[in-house]
Formats: sequence, structure tokens, C-alpha cells
Amino acid sequence: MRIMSFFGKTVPFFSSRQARWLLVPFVAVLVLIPFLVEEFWVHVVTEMAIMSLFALSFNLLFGYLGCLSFGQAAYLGVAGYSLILMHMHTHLNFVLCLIAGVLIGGLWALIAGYFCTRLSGIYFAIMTLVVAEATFYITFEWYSFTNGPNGLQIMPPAILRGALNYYFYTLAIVIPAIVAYWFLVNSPFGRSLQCIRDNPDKTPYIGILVRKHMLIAFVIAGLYAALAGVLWAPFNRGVSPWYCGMMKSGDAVFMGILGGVYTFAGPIVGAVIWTFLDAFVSRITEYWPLTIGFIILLVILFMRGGILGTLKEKIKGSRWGQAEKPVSREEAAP
Amino acid sequence: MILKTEKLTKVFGGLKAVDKVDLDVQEGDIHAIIGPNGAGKSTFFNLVTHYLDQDEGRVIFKGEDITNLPPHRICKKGVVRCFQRANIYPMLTVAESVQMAVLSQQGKALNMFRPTRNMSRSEVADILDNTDLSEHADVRGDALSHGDKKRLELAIALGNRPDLLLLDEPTAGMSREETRATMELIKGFRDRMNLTILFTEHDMSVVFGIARRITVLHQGCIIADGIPEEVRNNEEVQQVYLGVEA
Amino acid sequence: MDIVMAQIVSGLVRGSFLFLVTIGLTLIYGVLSVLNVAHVSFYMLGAYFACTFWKIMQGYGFSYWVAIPLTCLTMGTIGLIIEVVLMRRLYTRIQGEVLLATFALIYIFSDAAKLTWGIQAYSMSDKPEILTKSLGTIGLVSYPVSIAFTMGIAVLVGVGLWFWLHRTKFGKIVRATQSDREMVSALGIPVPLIYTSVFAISALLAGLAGAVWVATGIVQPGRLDMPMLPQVFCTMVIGGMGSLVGTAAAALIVGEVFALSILIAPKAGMVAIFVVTALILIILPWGLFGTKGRLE
Repeated sequence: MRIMSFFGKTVPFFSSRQARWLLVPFVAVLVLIPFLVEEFWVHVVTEMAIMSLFALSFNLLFGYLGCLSFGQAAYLGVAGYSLILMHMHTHLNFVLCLIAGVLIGGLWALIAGYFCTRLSGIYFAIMTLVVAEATFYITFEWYSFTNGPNGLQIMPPAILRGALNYYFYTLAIVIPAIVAYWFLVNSPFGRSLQCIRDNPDKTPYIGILVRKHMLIAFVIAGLYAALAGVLWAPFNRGVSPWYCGMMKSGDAVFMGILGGVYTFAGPIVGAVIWTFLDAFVSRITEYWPLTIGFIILLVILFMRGGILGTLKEKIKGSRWGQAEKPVSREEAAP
Repeated sequence: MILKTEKLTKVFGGLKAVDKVDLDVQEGDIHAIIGPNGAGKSTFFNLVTHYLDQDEGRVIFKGEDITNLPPHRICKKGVVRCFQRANIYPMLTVAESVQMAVLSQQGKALNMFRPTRNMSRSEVADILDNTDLSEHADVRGDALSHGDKKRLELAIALGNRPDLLLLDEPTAGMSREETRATMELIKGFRDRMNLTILFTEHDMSVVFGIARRITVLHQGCIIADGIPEEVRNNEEVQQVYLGVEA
Repeated sequence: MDIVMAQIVSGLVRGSFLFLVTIGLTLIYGVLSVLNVAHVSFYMLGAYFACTFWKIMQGYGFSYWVAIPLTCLTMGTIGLIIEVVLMRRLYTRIQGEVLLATFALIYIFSDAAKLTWGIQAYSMSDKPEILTKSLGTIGLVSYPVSIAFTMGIAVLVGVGLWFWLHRTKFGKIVRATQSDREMVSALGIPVPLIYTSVFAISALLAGLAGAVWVATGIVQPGRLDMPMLPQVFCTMVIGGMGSLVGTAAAALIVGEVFALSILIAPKAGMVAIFVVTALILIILPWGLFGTKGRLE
């Protein structure tokens, strides 16, 4: 069966020069937003920022490494639970609990990744889903430790309780994290992931130990999900088993697909749109699954490459895009 | 002696694809392995680079037993292999593919902090020069012609700074002209970079024009090994190649 | 001792259900090489339809027995429609996309069921007497006929499918398509028709599983589709993707693991399944009988 691949080299949506110009006004907008809209939307934008990390976590593995992970929520949930449990049972200050949460989430990713990276293709995807569901069931059933289906509650420290405060706190963490992510995916390591994705047979023969790179990528993705988790738990005033499982993991997948998995900013755009839709649609109807299901189907069928991917194609076709196209052999010959 | 195999054997089902092969490759040589289809040439390369596990025997490179090392370590040690079917990165440009091999060899493949864009540019440019690919530096792998893809395969291999380069039928599928050009190219960078080359080939004219030493495989066994003249006059070789010899 | 026996039997029943639900998906994966995760939605819909058909004919003694084939027919038709409208466009896509598209389908079907049948629980209020009668007692535990019914249907389906695939002409064509699509096409056999048929059959099997479930279980929104997915996956993966024999063996294993682990740690059933899955995959990365999508 011939399989149409829509793999593309994962590149920044804008060339670096263009990005630098857009960065300043973009950050300015981010800073000004909370003063221009009502509190509800400040919450929404905060959630968008947090979910961006979650979506990027998924896409490091899917867009760059070519591995479909249906279980990133496991690390988000574990991080959230760890944060709250540490805060409840020890008297360490909040910041240390945050760090502990991220590290424990990352540790769970290391353990899960050790098993998952032994597998490939569909087996990998299924195993990641199994890990997420296992995490769900553990948090659901271990009543004495995790309070079962009721979940655990946490209040952010006093200085972070206002919507505005938490928003800027989130930005202060998310923006550097995204910048670090940019460096990561454009680094030799990021390139090596794409090599593994595009030609896993050849890559050992240029001297790269594939499994090691896969495991490292898996842990980094887990850390990003965990970071999203420790930001999310206090924001949401708590966690519950459903933040660990298959369905929450599916959210990250949807965000990635929506925005475009083969661009850098795609997952971020996907997270923004998904969060907006979630907030918006939930006000109108309870049939959110139906809505998002249809949207995803339509995107997969008709907007391959997601929103940013499709935009990129449109721009490439127009005059703007000509300068960016690499010159092919036929065009180079006089 | 840069490479030495001792009784290297691989059995598939009942078939001995490679049968107790003792091969010596001298440093700096251009050494050819020839044999009819199914003689075991590709399987031999697969064993040396540990693409397959051997059933028996050892592979010794520069005095070190590399038989059971994982493929990426063998590559790092200096034994680099080109595949028979051009196996490249379709979505990376020529320069980027070569760059990846270069960075990998420099141990920078795990570097997560610097943008790849400007790393090792001169070494990459050098290699592209040596393989005549400079004008295609920014062309994507999948946009290349077949001949260019094979040269890209060579260039990527050179990125790993090999001491021993294993070429699996480097001129397969090429026209006469391209074959000649490719062999000239290989001879060229071999002289400049001081490599040892071990290659397999079907085309006799190619082999006798360039190889300093020839090993003949037949059904997994070595039936002749020596300088071109000896091999050409060997009766068993003539028998095996009846009608095929140029 | 009675409890252990009861759990073993419970495991067999559970395994039978798992087999019935999973086998359709194995068939699709083996022949079409796509993973239609919405298969669990077909199972759920089958259960809902079975309840509805039963309700329509309530009062007649045979109502359940007629509801079963009606459900199968309905689900087969739905499967056919889905294949023609959606799945065809996805065959050339990468695995990940198909999985995602069908995952989106689960969401859609889940809400569609809510819209159609509401959020209340359904069940057969007066089950056929023949099913609730006791089959016999071992020790203090009495076993109803329904367990034999469930296991019997599972065995029938398993054997029937094997027979169909290996002994009938159509079945052999289906297996041939799985190994070499182009060749089958070159022989003048319409491959798209085969794909549609296989897909419809798998939906039918899922519907059958749903109908069998209704004999003993309750139909509730969100309880039959998503929660089944991890178990179905584990079964497929343990058995080897695309292997009929593998699915049967794995379903038994998973069923028993769940049932017996409850004896040791009452809440650990699901997690025990996952741990066993992980362990098996470490030793046998392709599962017990699998090598990359082989159907046998």
C-alpha cells in the first residue's frame, strides 16, 4: 500500500529574521491583553499559555521524532499530583514543590520511556496510551494516597491568586520554556530526531544511537508536560485522575494536529485555538466532544498540515513564498 | 592491516550466505570484492557493520574486535558504509545531510543548545567539493537524480571521517559515463583523504581499472584473492564468470 | 476455593467478551492495515441498538433473539457507510492520521449516542429465562446459562472466522489482499470492494459483541466505548496485531489476569493488565503471534 507521506522538514513558520521583528509586538500584545479584557478571558489566555507547553510536549515526539504519543497527560497529571502531595505532606515552600513536581513528572516519563522506546510505530502509540490509562487507574483507585476520583485540591500562594498575577507568572515561565524549545529543536539534537523520523534505518550508520536519542526526547517531552502540569494544578485549583489519562492526552494530540505538526509554532497555535473553542463552545452547548470531533476530522481530511501548515502552503504558492523556496536542480540549470 | 575477518559466517535457513570468510584489507588499499549475484557480498558488508548478527567468526578493525559492537559505534570507530540503494534523507538538503554526519562524528549530536545552521560549515563545504555536489548544496534529497543521490550517499559517509569506507556497488544503475566519473571521484578523494576503500562491484571493467587487490566470492566462499592479474588468470574465477568477464 | 473457581470462570467470560469486541479490529488491521479505534464505538452502538430492537418487540418471547441479527445488520450497514464516506480517503495516509481521525470519530459517536438515547442507563428488564437459568453449581456458586452463551458465541465467532478465512474462497481472497494488494487487483478482483466488505464485517462483529453484552450488562453513555479501548489495545498488542489466534489467546490471558488479580488486590485489575502487557512486550515486542500485521 502506498503511503502518502506529508512529512516535511520542520521549520519555523517564519524565517528567523521575520520572527525577530514580530517578537516584540507579540510580547507587547501579551503584556497588554489582561488590561484590555475581562477576567474570564485572562483565565482563558493563561490556559492557552499552559496548554501551549502541553502541545509542544506532544509535538516534540510526533512532529520531530515521528512517534505518536497518546499519553503525555500522564506526566502532566503526575506532576500536578506530586506538587500537591509534596505541598500537603512536607512543609517545603511552594517553589521547591514546583520543582519537585516537574522532576517527578520527568521521572515517570523516564520510566515509561524506557519501555515505550523499545517499541515502534503503532506499538509505541498503544504503549503510551496504556501508560496514561495506567496512571489514570492508579490515581483513581489509590484512594488513601490520591483521594481517588475526588482528586486533590490546592490553592496557589497568596501572591499568585489574582487572575492577572497568575497570568504574568505563567508567562514568565512559559515564554522562556518556548525559547528553550526553539533552541532545542534547531540544535543538532533536534536535527537528529528528524533524521530518526525520516530514515531510522540509516541513522545508526551515521553514528547515532537511536534509542538513546529517543529516550532523551521522551524525557524532555515529559518534562514539558510536567511543567504544564505544575502550572495547571494551582491554576485549576486541583487535579483529578482525568488529567492523567487517555482523553486528556488526546487533547494534546488534537492541539498539535489543529495547528500543524510540521511547523514550530503549530502546536502553540493549536493550543490557542483549542482553548478558545473549549471556552467558547462550552458556553453554547454541552456537546463539546461532537464539535471537536468534527473539527479534527475536517482538519485531517482537508487541511493536512493543520492551520499553519495549510497557511504555509498558500503562502508558498503566492509571490511571497518564491524567495523562500530552495532552488531545485531543474531550475538551477541555465 | 586495517580490517581482518576471521571465519565470518552467516547462515539463512539452510543457506550459507557467508561461509567462513577470512578477509584481509590492507591500509590505504582500494580493495574490491566481486562475485556473481547471491555470492554474499552485501551480506558480508552487513556483518562487518553489524546490520546483521554473525553466526560465527570475528571482525577485527585496527586490531580491535568490533564484531559485536552496535552499528553506531562501529561507524564512530571509522568503518563507514554506503548502501546499495541510495539511502539518504529525502527531506534534508544535501548540505544538511552531510552536516548531520559531520556533527555526529564530532560527538555533537546531543548538543541541544546551539542552532545547527552555522556549525561546521567549512568541513561540509570541503566534502561537497570532494564529491562534486557543491552546486546542489541546498537541494533537498528527494529532488536529486539517481546519480546525485549516490554521490550524496558518499558525501554523507565522508562526513563521518571514515578510515575504512565500505561501498556497496557504488556504480549500480549508472551509465558508462557516470560510472567512470564516480570512480574518478572516489579515487580522487581517496588519494586526498588517505582512506582505505573496500567496495563490491559487478562491473568488471570498473574493478580492474581501479582496484589494487581483488577478492572473489562465490556462494559465500572466497575462491580467489590477490592482485588483479592473478585473479584475472585464475581458472576457477574464469569458470564462475564465464561469459560475464569484460 | 469456590471464589477462585468463580473468578476463573469470570475471567473466561471476560475474555470471551474481549475477544468478541477485539476480533473485528484485528480483522481490519490485518487486512487493511489501519487501526480503526472507533471500533469500540461500533460496539457501544451495537449494544444501544440491541436494547432498542429488543424494546420494540418487547412482549414477544423471541425478541432478544431477533434483536441480535437485526443489530448485526444495522451495524454492518453503518460500517459500510463509514468505510465509503470516510475510511477510503484515509488509506493512503500515515498510521497516525488514521488513528486520530477514528479517535475523533469516537468523540462524535459518543455524543451522537447521547443525543439519540439520552444519558440514562438501558438494560433488558426481563432477560430471556433461558439465559438466567442456572447452569449448575460448583460449591456455593451458581453459574447462569448466560456464561455459556457468551463463551459459546465467542468460540463460534472465532472458529467461524478462521474457517471463513482459510477454507472459503472469499476468505482466501481476503488473506491474499492482505499480503499483496496489487496482485489481487491485477487478477481482476475489486480490492475496494474487499476493503468495504471487511470493514462492514468487522462492524457487524462489533455489533454482535454489543448485542451479547446486553444479555447480561447495562448500557450507559461513556462506559462501553472509551473504557474498552485500553483493554482492546492490550489484547491486540499481546496477541500480535492482526493475528486471529493471537487475539483469542490474548483475550483469554487478559480476562484471566483481570479476574485473578482481583483476588490479590481488589482494585488492581486494570493496572495488572497493563503491567502484564508491558512485560510481554519487553520479551516479545511483536506480541505472541504477531509480525507486523499478519492475519491468520
